[in-house]
Amino acid sequence: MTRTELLDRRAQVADEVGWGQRVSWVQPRNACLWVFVAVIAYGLWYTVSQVRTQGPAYGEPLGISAVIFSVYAVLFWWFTTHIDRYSRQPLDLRVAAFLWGGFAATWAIALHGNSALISLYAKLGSPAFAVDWGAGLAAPFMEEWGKGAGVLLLMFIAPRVLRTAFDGFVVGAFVGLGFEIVEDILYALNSAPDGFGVDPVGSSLHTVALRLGTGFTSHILYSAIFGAGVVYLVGTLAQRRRVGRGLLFCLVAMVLHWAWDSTAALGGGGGLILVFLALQVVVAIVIVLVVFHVTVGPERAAMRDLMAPEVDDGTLTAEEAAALAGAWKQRRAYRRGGGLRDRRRRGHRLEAAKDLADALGAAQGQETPRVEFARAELARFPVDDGEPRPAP
Amino acid sequence: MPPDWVPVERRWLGMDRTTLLPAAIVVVLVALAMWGLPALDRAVPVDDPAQAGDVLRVGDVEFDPAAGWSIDSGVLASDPPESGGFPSTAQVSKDGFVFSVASDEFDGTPAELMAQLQKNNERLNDGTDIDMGRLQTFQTAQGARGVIGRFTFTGGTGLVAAYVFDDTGVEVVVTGPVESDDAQLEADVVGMVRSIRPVTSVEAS
Repeated sequence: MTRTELLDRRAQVADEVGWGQRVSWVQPRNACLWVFVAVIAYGLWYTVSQVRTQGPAYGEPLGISAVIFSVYAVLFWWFTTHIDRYSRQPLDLRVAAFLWGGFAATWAIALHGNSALISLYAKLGSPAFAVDWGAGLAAPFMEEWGKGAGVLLLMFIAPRVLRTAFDGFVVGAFVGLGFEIVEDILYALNSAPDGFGVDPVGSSLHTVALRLGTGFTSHILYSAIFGAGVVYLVGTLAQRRRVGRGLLFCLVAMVLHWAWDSTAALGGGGGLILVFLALQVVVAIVIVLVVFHVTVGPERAAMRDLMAPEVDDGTLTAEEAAALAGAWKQRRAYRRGGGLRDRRRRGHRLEAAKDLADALGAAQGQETPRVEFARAELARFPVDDGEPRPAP
Repeated sequence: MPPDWVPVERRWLGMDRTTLLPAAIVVVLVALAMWGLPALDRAVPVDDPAQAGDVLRVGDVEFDPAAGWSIDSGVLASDPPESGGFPSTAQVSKDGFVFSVASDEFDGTPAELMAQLQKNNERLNDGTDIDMGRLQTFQTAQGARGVIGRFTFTGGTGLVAAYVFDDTGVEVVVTGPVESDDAQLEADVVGMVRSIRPVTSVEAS
């Protein structure tokens, strides 16, 4: 490829995957935005009314669980942001996804839908059937569809940003994170009156501990898979519609959720429950890793195309570009490639190259003062000697 | 063209046509969850009258629902869930009377449990108030002693009873029409209150 072709390809790929694009929150003609705002507003109103009702009675457990789960949220927020290391989703989109999961999917969809479905299962089946399978046959529909609805709306609110299945994976994870945190706080609050309310804080903390241990392999994971499925189902400029794969991903997320909520019944109420729990965690992690690798491919290819001109003019080596676009194993192999003495320089170069990629993406592949500065920062750490150069 | 510009031929009633279908899908889902399914649930009546000999299990205790009363919630001891765990609440009703039982861990006496229930009422501040000055001792059919008393709430008055079997506390709440003078219903209520027992005692008998 000629340099002109490389540069054209860079601009094209940055546009395709929505690299560096921003979300406009002023779109009065966008019906999805109106629905998004209205349903979240209802959820926030419901939350405030719940806190006003329950807060005076169980304010202490509510406060303690809210603080604990906020720290938990920060941890998973960092993790989910960390895996989104290619065309990173803008902060406002991640916050919007979190809000939908926390306040819209929970209160407007899951709460009412789950209660009604479980009650119907008890009436049409039997109370014992509802105890065993009610949650497992309600939550995969009401909760996964509710969270997936957020990804669907955001695809049409931010069509220039949310373009690849990996974008759906990441946005879905943030929707799931919001759902997880608010649901956990609700569970902690609901368990405060357990034991006839003798020890509300202790009862809540017991629930908090249980939910902390199972957080990652539940809503965050299911929604990430479901979110990727929604993007495949709908299709975008960067991701052609693949109905079969989309349905499969959504179905897999729902089946995982069903198994999770039916653990006690599947385990027969005995010691097998722990075996089922462990098995589900392992299977869920294997599946999410597979989905991650399936969806991240186009993002990595885009990273390679974005940085190809930098390799062409010697700013970056081919090994560095491969590490930048690769998995953590490739990045680790690159950092260790020069021995212990050179590891620091290589780490800096990789980080500076990522900054350059972000700057190029934000500039849609064009040359801007920020791109020039990022390139100069990279040049402070030379390609082949261990001594840093002075800043230009 | 500015990025968020919607060309006139792509509009319907001023809205971007490409956003209408996904928005409609989500609106339908929200409507289904908030109104559709709850309405369907309300439309399907509870059709589960208790039969003579039925036993409702509530956590680690059980009671005999009076024949003909509707089992609104709760699981029969004869139909245990696969998971092995029974719900900790049950409710039966008839002709406006509602009889509900809740069980959970409790370390104390029946009187202390009743005091805790009143403390919860004060904590919730929802207008429910147990007449703690007129509590009476009550005995189940198996000889276990509990306390029973009246309470007032915004909807009227009711009976509340508290038992403790080993480390399991039981709260029974009965509400119904104030002016009712149906002797059979009252006998049913008394029978159900007296039938409450720990599961282990039944297995032993």
